[in-house]
Amino acid sequence: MTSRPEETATPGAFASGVSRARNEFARLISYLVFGLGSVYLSWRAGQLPSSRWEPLGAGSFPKLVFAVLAILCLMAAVRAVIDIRKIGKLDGLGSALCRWIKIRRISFAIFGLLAVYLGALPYAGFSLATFVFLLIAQLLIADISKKTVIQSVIAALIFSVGLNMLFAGVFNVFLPRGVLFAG
Amino acid sequence: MFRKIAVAAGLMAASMVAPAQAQNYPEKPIEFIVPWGPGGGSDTLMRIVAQGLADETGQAVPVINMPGVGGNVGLAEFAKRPADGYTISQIHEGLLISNATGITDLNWNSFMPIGLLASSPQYLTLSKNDNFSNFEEMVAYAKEHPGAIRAGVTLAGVPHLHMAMIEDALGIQFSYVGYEGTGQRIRALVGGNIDVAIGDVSSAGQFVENGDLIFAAVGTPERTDDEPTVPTLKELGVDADLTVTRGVVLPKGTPQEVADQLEAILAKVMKRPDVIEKIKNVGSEAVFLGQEEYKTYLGKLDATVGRLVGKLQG
Amino acid sequence: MLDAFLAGAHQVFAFDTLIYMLIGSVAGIVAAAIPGFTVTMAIILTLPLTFAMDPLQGVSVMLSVYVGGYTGGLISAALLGIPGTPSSVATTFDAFPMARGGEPGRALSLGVWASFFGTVISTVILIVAAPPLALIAVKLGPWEYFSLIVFALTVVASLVGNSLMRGLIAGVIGLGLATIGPDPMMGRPRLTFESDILMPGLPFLVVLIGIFAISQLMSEVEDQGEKSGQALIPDSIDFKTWAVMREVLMHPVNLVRSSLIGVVIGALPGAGGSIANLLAYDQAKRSSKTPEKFGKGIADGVVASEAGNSATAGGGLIPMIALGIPGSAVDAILMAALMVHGVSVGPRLIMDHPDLAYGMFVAMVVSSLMMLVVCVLSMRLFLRVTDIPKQFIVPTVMICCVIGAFALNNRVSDLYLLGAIGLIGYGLKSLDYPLAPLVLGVILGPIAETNLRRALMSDGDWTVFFTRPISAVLLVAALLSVIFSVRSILKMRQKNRPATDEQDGD
Repeated sequence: MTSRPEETATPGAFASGVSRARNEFARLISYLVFGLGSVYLSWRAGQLPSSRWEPLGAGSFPKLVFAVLAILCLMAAVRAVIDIRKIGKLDGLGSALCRWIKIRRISFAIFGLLAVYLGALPYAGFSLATFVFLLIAQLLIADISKKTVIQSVIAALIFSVGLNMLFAGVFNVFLPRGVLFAG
Repeated sequence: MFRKIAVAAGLMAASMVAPAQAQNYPEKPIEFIVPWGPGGGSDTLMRIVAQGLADETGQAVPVINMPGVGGNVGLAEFAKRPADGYTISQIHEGLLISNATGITDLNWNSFMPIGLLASSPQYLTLSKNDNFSNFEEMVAYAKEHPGAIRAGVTLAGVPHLHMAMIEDALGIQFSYVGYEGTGQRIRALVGGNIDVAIGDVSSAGQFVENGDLIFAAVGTPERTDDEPTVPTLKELGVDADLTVTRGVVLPKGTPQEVADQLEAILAKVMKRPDVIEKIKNVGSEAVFLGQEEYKTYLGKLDATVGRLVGKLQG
Repeated sequence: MLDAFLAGAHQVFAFDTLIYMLIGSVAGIVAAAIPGFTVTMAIILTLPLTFAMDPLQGVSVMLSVYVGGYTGGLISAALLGIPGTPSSVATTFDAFPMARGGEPGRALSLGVWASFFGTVISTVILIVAAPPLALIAVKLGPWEYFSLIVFALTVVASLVGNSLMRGLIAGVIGLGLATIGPDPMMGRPRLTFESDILMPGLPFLVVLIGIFAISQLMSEVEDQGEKSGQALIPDSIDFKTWAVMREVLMHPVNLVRSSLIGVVIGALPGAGGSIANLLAYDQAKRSSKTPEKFGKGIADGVVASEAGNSATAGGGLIPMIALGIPGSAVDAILMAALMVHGVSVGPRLIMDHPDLAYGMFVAMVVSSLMMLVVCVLSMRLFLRVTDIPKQFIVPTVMICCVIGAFALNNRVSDLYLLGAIGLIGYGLKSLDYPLAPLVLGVILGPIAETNLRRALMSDGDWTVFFTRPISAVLLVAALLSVIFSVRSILKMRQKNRPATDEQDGD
């Protein structure tokens, strides 16, 4: 990635050659994933039936878009490979990945919690699911102590049961109701 | 998919409806799923009806917009709701067309039609152009130049069906340009980007009054009060009924007494002077057809759609 | 005309109308300030209330919600780095770095004043030039729309951040995402893989919340070795209302240019605040003498983006008042509210109901003043948000996003999309892909496709794009814009070569 015009780095963001190679490797994987995905989608779009009302069918535009995406990804991937080879040092990938995940462990934990919450929402209902989500998420981010637990319970109650009452009662907007628990 | 929904709806109905509930229906708010986005024709009309229902019953009737895939997302969700009369929804001609063209498995008889409430007369509307300025001239021009007249429609939608009915009756051919919604079509018509379109009084009336557009014919059996000078298609020798009708439906499996009670309430709502006036204000007409008449109407309409569906499929 | 003006003003300045408008203004600002909640939603909730009011009273209240909403999006854009509404994507670029840099009060004040002047300028243009502008807007056919979108797509060059390549990839991914779901012409499903979740397509708001909000919230809780229980922005509640007003007025060219962009984009039915916001930012950056300072907290960026989106409020009313054609979803709801009251909205509105039309102009000005008063008075309160520890902010804002995504269409399946898009957004962010081009692609893709197909259905001849004058001008502008971008990139390359020889963009 040397002397690429658009790579105007933020001052102070010094990265060593190895870590740059690692970053570039991670991006290379993303280029490959997007590239292969777009080739597939472009092919699928090409199979959509044409229309007798218009010269361009339903498939023409997505086919074009995904084809362009595939080409862009190919170009980006080639440049990434050249850069990685130029730097030539690509070791410690495994430990770097571990460090990367470790820094983001709470982010991923919160996301996992969000996924479970969204999945449970239609069954548990908005109030119950939201209360549990908020409580766990807050305690995950803060340290657990008597004070934070009490604060979290209060905040969780307000933004689960309270919000639901506000929306249903005042705005007549009904948030998902559960099969198990109607609120 | 439809069978699954029907089974689910049946199960829900069996498990959730207490027989005593029907006595003093409604005793809690009724949710009104409008399977279209806010601000459109269905939404505006159904909000007026919901307001009337709330005034009549004393219960809140919140409107819930659930747009997507030509109304089918909202209706699919509606079919899964408990069949106890506390969730109601709305259908119009579009559902029958979506079913005929294979976009959805749902059809009018996947639900219990309760009452047809509003009918919006549709007008064949012409842009100001050099080639024709009334119905006869348009037909003559179309016969001379097949496919030269650009018609703005929602492809495979209600306006497309209406245009196909006119094509079918007159033996002429339009070339179609796809637009979404009456507002967009009228805009394109005023801008001269298309030559003919189906319009209504609320969206095109003032342009006609102003001389920017021309109402060539109206698709109702008799001339309308709004535009008494516009001839009907029947007078012009075209046997086609161009209206958009909107009615209320319940999920299949709702107890008959709940359906009857809702029908009676809706009949009262549609007689309220404020409801009649508001519906007239937005360019439609308050009407009321009860369960049996509404079903007959939908059945007949379905046959027409089935006959013309070949002209809509692309 | 003066009679009608006075009659309209008389109705707007009634005591109860003003009170309702004040409530509307607060509601609009709050709704827009919460990520996931939109102005459209707030207006729909107001709609049934206005059934009981006079036509002008009802519309005035809705306009106050509308104007407030265009400003409210600024608050979470500046303080949380999450666009509060689709129209404040570009606002995050400079308002957020400015707030994080310790000047949250200045960022908010700048945005509020820019919004105020944007609304006022757009109202003036609305009063003076509505009929001719509306006539031009209605003449534009699919060719012009397509060419305009091609021009707008060149904005991507200003949004790419560290890498042009990844910016382009993100933009094209956005275009691609928008093609999933029912095909805009026939309503047939495409690329949905028979999945009920994908069948209705990816709603723009869900993509926006997922890409910006969920990913931003996830990166807030990354462990960078700092103590928990910490607020997002260091405590500094300092805003100099009048000094900032003068500062905003020191950028008159930027202010007027951005407002004009907002008016023009707003006046085109179908385009909206989100495009105006990005386009105004892009133009400010291009004509700036110091483009490299954009994205790091420059006042010009905040002024351009907020004046641009607020000016679409007045712009959107141009085709509505002059011709009865709604410029946006919100205008369609406004029209429905008027029609229910028996006011037919169309080209004869100004002739048949002049008091109503002029009353709406007055209401626009009053709304913008109210927005200003409410914002200045409540600024202290909003800035307090920055004191709240992030263990409360992050999960609660996530819940607001979930509610917003659900309440949009009342579909549970949209929530699954929200989660998936959020994860993708976080991944892209971690790999240093710029996110704004992706959102731009999602906004512009469907408009481009629909109009391209519509143009070719109207006339099978491709050359029409070049023979219709406005379309041709727009295409030339797009070409010039690309040339300009390439040139400035080449210049940057020369300038930066010695300095960045060994650095990457992360």
